[in-house]
Amino acid sequence: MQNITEDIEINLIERSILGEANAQKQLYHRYASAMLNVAYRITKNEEDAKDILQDSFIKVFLQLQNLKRKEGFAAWIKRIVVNTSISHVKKKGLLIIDSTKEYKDIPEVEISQKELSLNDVKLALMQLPNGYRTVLSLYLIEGYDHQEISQILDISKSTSLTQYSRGKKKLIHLLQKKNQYGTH
Amino acid sequence: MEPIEEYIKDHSNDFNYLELEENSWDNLHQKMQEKPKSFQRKFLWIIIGVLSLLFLFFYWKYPQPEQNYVAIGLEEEMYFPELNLMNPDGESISVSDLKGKVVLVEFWASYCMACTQEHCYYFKPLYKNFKEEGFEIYSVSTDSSAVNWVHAIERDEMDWIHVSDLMGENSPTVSEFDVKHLPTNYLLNQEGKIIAKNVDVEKLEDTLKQLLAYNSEK
Repeated sequence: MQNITEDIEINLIERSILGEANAQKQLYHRYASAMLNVAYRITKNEEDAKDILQDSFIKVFLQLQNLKRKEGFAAWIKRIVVNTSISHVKKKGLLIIDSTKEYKDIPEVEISQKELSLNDVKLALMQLPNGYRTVLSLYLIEGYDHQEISQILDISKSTSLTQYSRGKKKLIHLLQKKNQYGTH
Repeated sequence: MEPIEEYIKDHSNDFNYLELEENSWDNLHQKMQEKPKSFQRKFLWIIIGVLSLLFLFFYWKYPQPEQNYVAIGLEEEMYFPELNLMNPDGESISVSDLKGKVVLVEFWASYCMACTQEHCYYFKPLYKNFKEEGFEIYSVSTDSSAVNWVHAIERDEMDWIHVSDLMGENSPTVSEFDVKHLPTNYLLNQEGKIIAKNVDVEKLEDTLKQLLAYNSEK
């Protein structure tokens, strides 16, 4: 099954390289929605995410012929969207990761799966400061490891780790506050 | 791994906040087809830019050999600096006193044959014809001998303004006004701006007609 979908995709990629608009359209619809949300989780701005999606796909179709391993398309396109998003927020001065800044230590907290609802977690994630949200999304949702995140954000690996653990604590904190005061 | 981490990883496909707009592919498709056009346009602008730079470079490097009163070097369009020297009678006369007239400031010396030729063949008739219409000649001599200077003025019957500091060719005036050879001249318009350096005396008549006609029309 996996092989068949992969074959279909490679076929779409090859036809897209030849400039077949219908294949490009299909390829676009396979990824566009997911990529739009990748961009949104980093930018937290609908208009920016739409622009980034467009710019990224223009890059994708321009450089598709240079992609060596067609099987790596999914990872490749995601990396393009992530990089475009990061450089966009950096350009706007919205992503400043300052590891030297001392935060008050947030106490160690735990939360069990029973207490979690998807909607609450989604909302809480968006309430995090830009740096925490970006590192958390890249690690947990996009699936990059800290080595890769440090490259993407141009920070050290240890900064990525501390940002991650602080962000995680903050996220739990927000969720607990929500459970405490929330009415539903 | 903590429960929260596990939870998010398990639901990583569900963290969607936005939905794709229906016309998003059409927008992209349209933009992709515009792309090469704007690239071509950019390319065109680069070519135009390079060509105009080349043009400017050659224009600067190889100026027109014909030096009438247009297209002269750097001094063009600058106000002529203050120059105030004494005439043979000991009265000081300044170039700025002559504002409102078209002035030819000339550097010469009594021993300069080329200067004498210019004076006799060109300046005298021109001065006669145009002085009433607002043309003045301000001749600065680089002589060091007053006797030679005054003798040359009288010999050639030059009845325009003559001044000198009688300090010879080492005079600070000579270096200040960039006089590298004799004769050297500057043509100033009615506002005292330099129109040309070393005007071609053969074309000076046409130039004066233009300048003075422009003045009388005004």
